[in-house]
Amino acid sequence: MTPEITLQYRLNAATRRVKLLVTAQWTARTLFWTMLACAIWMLCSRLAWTSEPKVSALAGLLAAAGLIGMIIGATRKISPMDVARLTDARTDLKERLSTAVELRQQGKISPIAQAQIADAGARIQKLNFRHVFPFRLTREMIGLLILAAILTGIFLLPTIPLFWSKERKQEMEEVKRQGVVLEKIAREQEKRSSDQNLTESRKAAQEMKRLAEAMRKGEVDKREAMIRMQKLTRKMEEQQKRLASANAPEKKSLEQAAQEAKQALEKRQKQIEEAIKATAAQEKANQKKPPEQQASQAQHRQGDQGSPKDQPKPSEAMQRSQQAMKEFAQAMENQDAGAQNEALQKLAEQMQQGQMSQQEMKQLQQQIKDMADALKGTSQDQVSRELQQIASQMEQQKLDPQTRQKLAEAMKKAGQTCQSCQQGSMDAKQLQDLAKALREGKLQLAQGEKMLPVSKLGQSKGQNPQGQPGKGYSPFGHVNNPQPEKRAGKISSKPPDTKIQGQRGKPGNDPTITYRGDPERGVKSGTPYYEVYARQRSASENPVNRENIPAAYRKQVRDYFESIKP
Amino acid sequence: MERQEIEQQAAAFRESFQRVKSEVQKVIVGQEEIIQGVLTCVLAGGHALLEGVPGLGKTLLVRTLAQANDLKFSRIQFTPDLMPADISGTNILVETAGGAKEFRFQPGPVFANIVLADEINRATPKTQSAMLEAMQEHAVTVAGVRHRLEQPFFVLATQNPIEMEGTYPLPEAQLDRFMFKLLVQSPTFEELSAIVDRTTGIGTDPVTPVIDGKTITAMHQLARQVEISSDVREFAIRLVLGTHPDSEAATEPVRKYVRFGSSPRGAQAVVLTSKVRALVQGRVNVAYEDLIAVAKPSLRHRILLNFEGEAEGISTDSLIDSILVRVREETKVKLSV
Repeated sequence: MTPEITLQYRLNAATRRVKLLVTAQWTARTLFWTMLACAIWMLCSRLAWTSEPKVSALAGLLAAAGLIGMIIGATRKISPMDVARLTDARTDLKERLSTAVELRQQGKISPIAQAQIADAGARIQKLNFRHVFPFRLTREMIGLLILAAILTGIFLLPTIPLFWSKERKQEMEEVKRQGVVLEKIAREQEKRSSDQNLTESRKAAQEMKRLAEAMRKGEVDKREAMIRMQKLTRKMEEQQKRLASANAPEKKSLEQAAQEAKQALEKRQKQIEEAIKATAAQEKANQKKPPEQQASQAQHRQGDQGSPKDQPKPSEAMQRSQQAMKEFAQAMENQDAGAQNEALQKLAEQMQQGQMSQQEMKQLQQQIKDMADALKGTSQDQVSRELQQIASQMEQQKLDPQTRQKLAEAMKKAGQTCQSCQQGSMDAKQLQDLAKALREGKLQLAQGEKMLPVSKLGQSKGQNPQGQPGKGYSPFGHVNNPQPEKRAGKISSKPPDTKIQGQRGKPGNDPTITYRGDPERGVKSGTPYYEVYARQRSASENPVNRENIPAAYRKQVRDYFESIKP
Repeated sequence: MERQEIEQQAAAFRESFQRVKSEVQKVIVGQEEIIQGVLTCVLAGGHALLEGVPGLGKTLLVRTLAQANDLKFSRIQFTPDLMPADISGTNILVETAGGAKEFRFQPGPVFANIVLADEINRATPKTQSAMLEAMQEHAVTVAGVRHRLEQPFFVLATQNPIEMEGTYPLPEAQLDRFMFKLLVQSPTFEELSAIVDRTTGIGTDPVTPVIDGKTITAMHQLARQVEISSDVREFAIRLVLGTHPDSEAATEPVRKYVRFGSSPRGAQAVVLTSKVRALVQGRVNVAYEDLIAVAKPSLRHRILLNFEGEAEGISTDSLIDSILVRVREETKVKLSV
């Protein structure tokens, strides 16, 4: 390898190394400034001057900055002369390299120029560029590390319990306690839903469990927990409404419908029995008449009610059908959709086999119609409609095997509808229960540590310790501020908890509720909280709806009012 | 000429330099910088002015150098009554073999390879100026006849900075002819001890000539071939321009204390002596450190201080230092990783 080629080869290697370091420098530089901006943004958000940036937004910004820095660094033009000068400066080469590069560029071929290039080539070959251009922490890189630590600190410090205020610790305790309660409810509900194969409520229970776990672990603060609980409640309510609207509105209960069905079945049974008795009596009378008259009466009966042999006793298929109908009614009473389904499946089998007489089929049609009437207006209105349709088809069409097959299938489908109707309504019910549990939990969080059982809220009246409503007492009780000297006219963003004491119902029952807020000293409250809330919410909603509030703040305003909703 | 040949010449240059230096150091104790400076100056084909108090070995140094170089040496002791003809020579009336009388040129002491102009500032300006032509053009003109001096030709002058009474400081034009102005310092304790030992004993090793005039001329030619990159050349130019008070490159002290800066001879001296130094250091290219090393001896006598500078006792070396700092900053590599 000639000295010139050696020089060129090694210079290329040096250029690559320098380019790498320049790229790292630029990346650090752009990351530094972006991270500084992010830290300022985070700080502003912590001081509540701006909304809190999303972690994904910050990560995206930093990634973009890093990428831009890399591109700038990688596209920087670094000439061999620059690298030669830098190498000369970093090593003991005494301008050998820069001189050689210049001589090469000038195309000098004098012996002394060649000797110079050979000297430079021999020297550069001994260099280890990792040592000549080591990776050093530049000022930007050090700044970057410091800023990263600051940013992490801004993220983590407020979440480290050591830095929490007393109030916040108390709040987090409440949140954790509430998380434990909700988690237990969610687990039970999830198990129940799994057993009953209720998809929607199982999903909702799982979601609630996740939130409860986060609360139990202290991963969310009180405000966030309340907002998330509120959102989940709303979601559940919407889901429940959707499920409920899929089912018919319940005007009467299934128990009531079962009673009606049973009565109708008994009535039909009696009619059948009476008809059998009447037929038997008629036959006895006929035995005393002349044979011609007997024959003519028998002929008449055949055309009307079937053979005299069948009439006295219902067929086995009919008996089974009757049994199935009874089971269906009983299942209705027990609200057992599975049993209902099974009963209808049995009935369908009997109808399909075709062992019942025409008369029996007619009786069965009437009983099905009775059943449909009984179910009308219940949560199984859809089943009612399907049974009604079957009954009408049985009445209108000729019952050949093909029709019977169709009717049996329709009956089976009605059985399945029964089950799905009940599942939907149970799903809705379970969702309702979950939503209720969440609402109660949120209310308890909002009220603080010492609280009334949810069922008792709203029953109290503003009374003084003597049991009389009067001056300085709100409907929830009188104001007792533990730190009156610290009171200020302006409500701060994180006011201390204020105890509002009161007497509820009989003396000794739950005298205290803790609210967040800072009522002004000396102001006598005569308005219940829920009234104030409603008025203020309405007052805030109007500007929101009229778009007086900037779009960026609308959600915050809504969230705030959701969080203080009584 | 092949690359290898140049490399051999460069090696021989360094070797010759070291050998001459070693020979001189047999007699002269210490004064490393001065020996190196004088040798550099000689190999660059320039003249040197040595300034120092009496008794520091200036004359001995020059004489030893002449011995080591196997060159014709002459010494001129400058005194106020010294006449130009005493230096350059004169036409004398001589009788030929036929008994005829004729004027014949009798060369003066300047007709030597190495001329020691001892205490040059003691002669009158008229006599001093007699050296001008010899130093610049390597020739003297006597009675209208121009006589070329033998090559190589070097003037090594000395002057005493004290006892200025009755002296005639060298004019700027003459100072500019000197490539280097070297300041001879008093010896250190160890050096003085060695001097005492060496000069009060039986004797010293004799100085033997190690190079001749031809070799010196060849070395001189080789030095001129040494490559200098544009960056390094720019450094030298900035350095010289920095000595001019009205230049943009001038530093604040230069603006304040300097009346005139260096002439282009200063830049020539800096670059040429740097080339010699580069070869001595084993390189065939000039480096910044070469320029820095020769900056002071090349420029210190070319900077003319103004009244304020003189009054405040400003040394031209400190001004050169300030210029060097600035030029280094200006020529710093921009790319940093």
